[in-house]
Amino acid sequence: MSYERAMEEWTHETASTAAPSLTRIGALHRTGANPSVVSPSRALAIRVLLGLAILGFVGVAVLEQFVVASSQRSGRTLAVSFPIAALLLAMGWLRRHDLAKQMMVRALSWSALVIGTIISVFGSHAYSLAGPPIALGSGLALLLLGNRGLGITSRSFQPIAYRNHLLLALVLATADAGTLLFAAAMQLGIFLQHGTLGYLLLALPTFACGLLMAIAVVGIHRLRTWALVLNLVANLGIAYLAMSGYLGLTIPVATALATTATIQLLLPVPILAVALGDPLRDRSPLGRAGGHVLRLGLVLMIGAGVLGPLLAQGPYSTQRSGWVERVHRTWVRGVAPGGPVTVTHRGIEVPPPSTSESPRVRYHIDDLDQADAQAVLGALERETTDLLAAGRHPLQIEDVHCAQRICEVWLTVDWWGQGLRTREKVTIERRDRTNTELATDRTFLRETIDGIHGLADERLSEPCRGELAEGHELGVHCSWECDHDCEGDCGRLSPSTRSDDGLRSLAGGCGLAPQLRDGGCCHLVAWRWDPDVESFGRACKDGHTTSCDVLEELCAGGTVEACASEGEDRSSPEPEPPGASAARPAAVAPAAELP
Amino acid sequence: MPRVDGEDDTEGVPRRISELYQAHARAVAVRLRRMSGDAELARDLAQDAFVVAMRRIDEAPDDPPPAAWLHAIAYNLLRDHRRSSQRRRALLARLLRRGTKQAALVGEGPSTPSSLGERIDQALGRLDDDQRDAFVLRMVEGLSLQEAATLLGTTVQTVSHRAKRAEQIVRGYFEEEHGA
Repeated sequence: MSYERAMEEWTHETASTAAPSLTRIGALHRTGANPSVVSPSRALAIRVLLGLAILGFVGVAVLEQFVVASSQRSGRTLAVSFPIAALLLAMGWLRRHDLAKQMMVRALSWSALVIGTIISVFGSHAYSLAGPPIALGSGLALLLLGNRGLGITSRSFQPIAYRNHLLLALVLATADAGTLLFAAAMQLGIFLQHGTLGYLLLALPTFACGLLMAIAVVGIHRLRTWALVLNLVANLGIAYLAMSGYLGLTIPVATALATTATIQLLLPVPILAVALGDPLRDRSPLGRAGGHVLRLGLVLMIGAGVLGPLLAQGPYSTQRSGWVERVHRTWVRGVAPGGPVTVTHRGIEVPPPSTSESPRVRYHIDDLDQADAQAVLGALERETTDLLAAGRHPLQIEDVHCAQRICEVWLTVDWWGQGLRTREKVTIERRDRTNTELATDRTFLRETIDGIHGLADERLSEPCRGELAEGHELGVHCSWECDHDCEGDCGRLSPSTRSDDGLRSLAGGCGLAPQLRDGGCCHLVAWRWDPDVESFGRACKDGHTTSCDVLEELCAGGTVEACASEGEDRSSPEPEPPGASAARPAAVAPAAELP
Repeated sequence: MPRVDGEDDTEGVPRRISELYQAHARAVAVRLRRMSGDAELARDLAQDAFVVAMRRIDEAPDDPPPAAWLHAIAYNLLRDHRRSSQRRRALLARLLRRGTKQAALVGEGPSTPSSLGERIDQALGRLDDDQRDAFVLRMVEGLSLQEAATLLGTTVQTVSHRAKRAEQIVRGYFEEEHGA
């Protein structure tokens, strides 16, 4: 038979192919034999729930901007924009007939649920209040979603077996990628807000890990073997980096990542077993039981997320507040007792106290993360305040950022306790020590105190170069204190009284002579204040107070503000600018308190 | 089931789909039959194509005509099926190499074609999927190069080359047969 004739006959023969039944097509569509997505009514409910989660994330930003102290802010406003955008995308993709988008909806909701639960259970300050709506909204949305839409066929994702395994691996990997990118955004936000270089160094590997997971997700979706291997390697790496502290994540986030990494390491085992020669199983181990386990886990996470802030008030508080036991330098979590405490440090049990309340929760420091650093140095604050009391530099630690074993301690120092407050930064870098050593090493903590002393010395050694400009205020506060303990330190601590003759002269002019004895120590502090920038400048050590007349008037009148240039005597004070008195430090003593 | 506003349903099927069905169901099934070489598979795929079309009826364009849209859906389903089949065949081959299912498949092998359909299928079996698609559209159904290229998602030159090469192979098959 010739080619032409064969083709002609075949064309006629195939033209009689029967068309499918229209009734059957309608029935297939009605019964949903072709997998469908969530119904419009269910989609509406899910969108409302995801909207609730979005409100929770917005609440984090609002709390950060308007409630939480500025020193405790850590870039969350920037970071929450990512999950908000992600959940908005998920709301839009709910009814899309696309397997990739259906998986993304679940992954983004999972990621939000994990973040919400962590914020709720482990969050500090007011942030934990934002956790419940996030956890509740995203968790219930996942329950309502179920497996609707996951049966949609995809051109690239058509596994011949272990579809559920691969789907779960995809969802978890995408959620991990989202969580890591969220953490990287937070670290970047902290860097932008505080300029801490260590956080930029942390953000890069965290972002790289998130990117790696995202690449693995794309590859698995295309059923590429390299993607499965990449996913395994990335999970091993992420689990190690997260738990070893190299990603600078908090312990809860690191634990969550390590948990999902472990699950993802187990998921491909049967697939790899088949590749290595095991027979293909007809039934996936992740059957109906697996679905129940997933739903149970979901419910537990929602419960933890909703009850998190309540748990924080109870005896099993997960809030990371506490104190450092001074003898062993062990961080103890719970409510600080009034007296000595019992701690377990490296297996050594310290006997319980006979009196006072015992700590409710105890644990070892095995890692120094941000929360630990803040708590350790927060406890240090009391000690440094005590230690520096003799030097009269009460201080308040405002913020601590630790990254890559570099700690930056922001503190307000009240120089000489006279209301002259400045915000200072002490940087402690100990790259040669492990986190545990850093947390338990007295040397490390002592460096903070030394750093503050160094700052004091630095301040005192600087000459007074202050020049008063228009709009600046000159406030002079006279007080006296005789303290035999600081004998010999007068010159250092109170440079304005460096000259004994000058001191006597000033004191005499102020009527302080009866109280001044040889070897006594008088503190006379002046400061300059720029009300526009609402900050204090350096202590101005001399020049303004050389006139006994002025001093007498100042001491008699308590405080006097005057616009003057350095070295110029002003016998009559100028009117106080509006609002200046309200912004004046409270430590300025009224004249009645002066002797 | 989603309903299209302003259109009545017939047996649960929107009117627009009914019209498409009446006009193009057979053509879709025939083309799938020729491209796949399997009548039953062609019917299943045509059925799936209409189910997908019903689900996405609100996305159906007026330009290009709905028929082209429908054929594109059907062709995409065929390509998905081929990919899936390739993976299954690869897995089966691997299992066969291990002897897992050797016993079950003993005796299976190529049979001597007797009918015209079987002979054509054997001739077309010498083509790869791309050549077969181009051959069916150009040489059997007589589509223009542009139409075929649009449907196959490739260039006019590629379609032309594939179709000519496929014709040479099929013609060679029948010439060999005639010579024998």
